[in-house]
Amino acid sequence: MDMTEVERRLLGLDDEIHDLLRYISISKERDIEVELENYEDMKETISRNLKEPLDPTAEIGKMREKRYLVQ
Amino acid sequence: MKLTIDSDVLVYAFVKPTKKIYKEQFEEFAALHDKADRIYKSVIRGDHELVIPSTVLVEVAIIMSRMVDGDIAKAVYERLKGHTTEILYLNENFTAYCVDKGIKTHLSGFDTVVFACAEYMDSVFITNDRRLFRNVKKHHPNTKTHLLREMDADEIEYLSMV
Repeated sequence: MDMTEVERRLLGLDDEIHDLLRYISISKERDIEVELENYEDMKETISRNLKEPLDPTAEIGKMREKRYLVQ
Repeated sequence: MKLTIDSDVLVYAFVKPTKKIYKEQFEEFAALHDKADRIYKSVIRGDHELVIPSTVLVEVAIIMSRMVDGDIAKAVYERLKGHTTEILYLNENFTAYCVDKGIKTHLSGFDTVVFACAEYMDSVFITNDRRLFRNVKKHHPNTKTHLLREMDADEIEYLSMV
């Protein structure tokens, strides 16, 4: 194999790697978009099903022991 | 950047309030939801790594089951688990670390576990509990801690961008 052939094949590999990385990048972007859409859908479902106006900080505070905290 | 987000902040992210339910508390809740939502979206986008103790998953699920129902609470748990880079379980090492922190600060068990997670993982800690925030600031001034209700747009933008 001469150097021209080696160079030609390496350039082919370079193009292939570039295309694969681009594919991975696009796939990741799509995955993130899907995750964000799913998150928005879940928030809408929660909103529609809210039962009472709980304050998360107060409720979790009640679940944790408070006696020794600095006020 | 690694983030340890307290249970209440995660619940604020998932719960988009309605005027019908929250009435006069709507504006206040909506403002906290918007902040928590922006931070959580930065985690989904992969801008930050979410590292939380397993106790946070338990607390979020319990509060969600009370706010909506058990099935949705389990769905939130699964979603949250999927977005978390690392969950710290109370194994021997982490338990010993929490004990060491707890006996110095006298915080409650779950409070200790959540802030100890931030220290253990060298992550930024975000809570909306003012008393916990004050205690961590007082006893562990080197821990990077934010109080959600006092975070301004610039701080959130910084978290969203970094």
